[in-house]
Amino acid sequence: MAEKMQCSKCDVQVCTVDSSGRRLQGEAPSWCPMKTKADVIKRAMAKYTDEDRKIAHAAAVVESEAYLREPWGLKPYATRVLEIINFANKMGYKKIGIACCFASGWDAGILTNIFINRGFNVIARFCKVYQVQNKKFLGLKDEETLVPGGYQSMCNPICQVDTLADSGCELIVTHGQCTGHDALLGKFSQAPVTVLGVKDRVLAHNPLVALTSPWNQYYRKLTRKEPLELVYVNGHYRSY
Amino acid sequence: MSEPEEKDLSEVSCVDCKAWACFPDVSTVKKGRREAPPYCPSNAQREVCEQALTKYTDKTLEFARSAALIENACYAIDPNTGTAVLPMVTLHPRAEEIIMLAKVAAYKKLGLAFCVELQKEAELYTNILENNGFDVVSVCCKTGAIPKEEICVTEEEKLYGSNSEETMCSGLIMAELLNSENTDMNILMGLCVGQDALFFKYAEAFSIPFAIIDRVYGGATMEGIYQVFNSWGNRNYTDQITNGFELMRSAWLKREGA
Repeated sequence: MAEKMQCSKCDVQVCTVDSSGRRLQGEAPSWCPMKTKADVIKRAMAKYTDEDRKIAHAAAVVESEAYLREPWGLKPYATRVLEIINFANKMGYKKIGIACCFASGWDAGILTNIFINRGFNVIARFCKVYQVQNKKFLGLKDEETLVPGGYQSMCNPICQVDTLADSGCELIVTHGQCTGHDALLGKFSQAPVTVLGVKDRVLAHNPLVALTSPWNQYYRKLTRKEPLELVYVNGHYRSY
Repeated sequence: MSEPEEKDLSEVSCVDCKAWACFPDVSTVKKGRREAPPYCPSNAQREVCEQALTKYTDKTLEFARSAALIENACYAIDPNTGTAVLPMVTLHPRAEEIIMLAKVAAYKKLGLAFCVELQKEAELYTNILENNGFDVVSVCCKTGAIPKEEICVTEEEKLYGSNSEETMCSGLIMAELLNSENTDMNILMGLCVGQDALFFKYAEAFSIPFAIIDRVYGGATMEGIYQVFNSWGNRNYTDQITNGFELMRSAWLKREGA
């Protein structure tokens, strides 16, 4: 029984290149998927359809064009917004659907302006579409909602993505979706889904800060010795 | 702004809506359900919505329920009334929400798909997840080391110039590798545009994007929208560098004519 695949703990990275474009040298660890799962990789490569190859090619070109070539090396130029625009241009998409949280509605307005200015046809859908009641449909208890006794609509990513597909969107851009709802959206979408922003309620939508800034309290909380404790108080989960 | 009724109703965008029948504010929620205007997709695309609701079956419904619980768990609650504290006080960062979601949904095996540039962060997050009792497998985007020529990338289109031995990123290979490990849930860290589309398409388990890569703002992708009117961010808006006020004005004029 080989050890489990754990690329995040690999320190040779023979699969990638250094900044001069040469492959890194070294001995790959015993659990490297290139050694243990070569057949899976081979089968995956055979799964590429024509559209997938087009997407992969466009993604590679967009990545390469995201940098300016300075004498001292590569300078990042393209933001994620610009990358999505370049990607949609390369793929020839005309109509973009924005699937976003109600709370990111203002951002979606600006994003709509950006896409219109770049010559796309844009439609946005907010997450509460069709106003299905949380309690009734998902079986939440009254005290588990934010306003007991009220009509809290549930976030409805499947309706969101299906109405966008019905309106003829060729690319879905999700923006500011909560944890889990973007997973549902990605799972049920027929059109390709790309993520522009993810919601992080406490770190100003920059979730990576919790892992990169050692002075951040959330970093300290996450990296302490004791695991997080999940408790259920008065109808709400809390993590201490 | 043109009257929404004049257009095809399925073409009306939620950002142009003024009715806000679905506004999830505490005071609105208290009043009960509000009637949506005719151009709202709830009415204009009612059949599509009805059809979509049938897709919430056992596993999906369970996941949606866990996600709704986690969404509600992220706000402070007034212990006396049981309603959310106003103004809303938020509690948990996304890194923690994902752990909470996996615990509530009782998932054991998590897959982590990350960009090689975020390897150190991925290592840290793997350790955090393992410390919380999950069985984690991780896979980086260059796995397979397939040369870029395989997807017809020419020498000029390569990142480090011609004759470099670059390998391609592949969302598809990552998804297939995690499928072969039968993960309960996948976490994406910093996948590029396009690769996440491929990953979502082929992954069998639910895939949660955790961090998004942004080469300019270092992961804070939303800055690309917030800073679009200053000289640093208006590259998103137009290819010509213009003054911010002009840009803002033209933006609103554009919306008027839209």
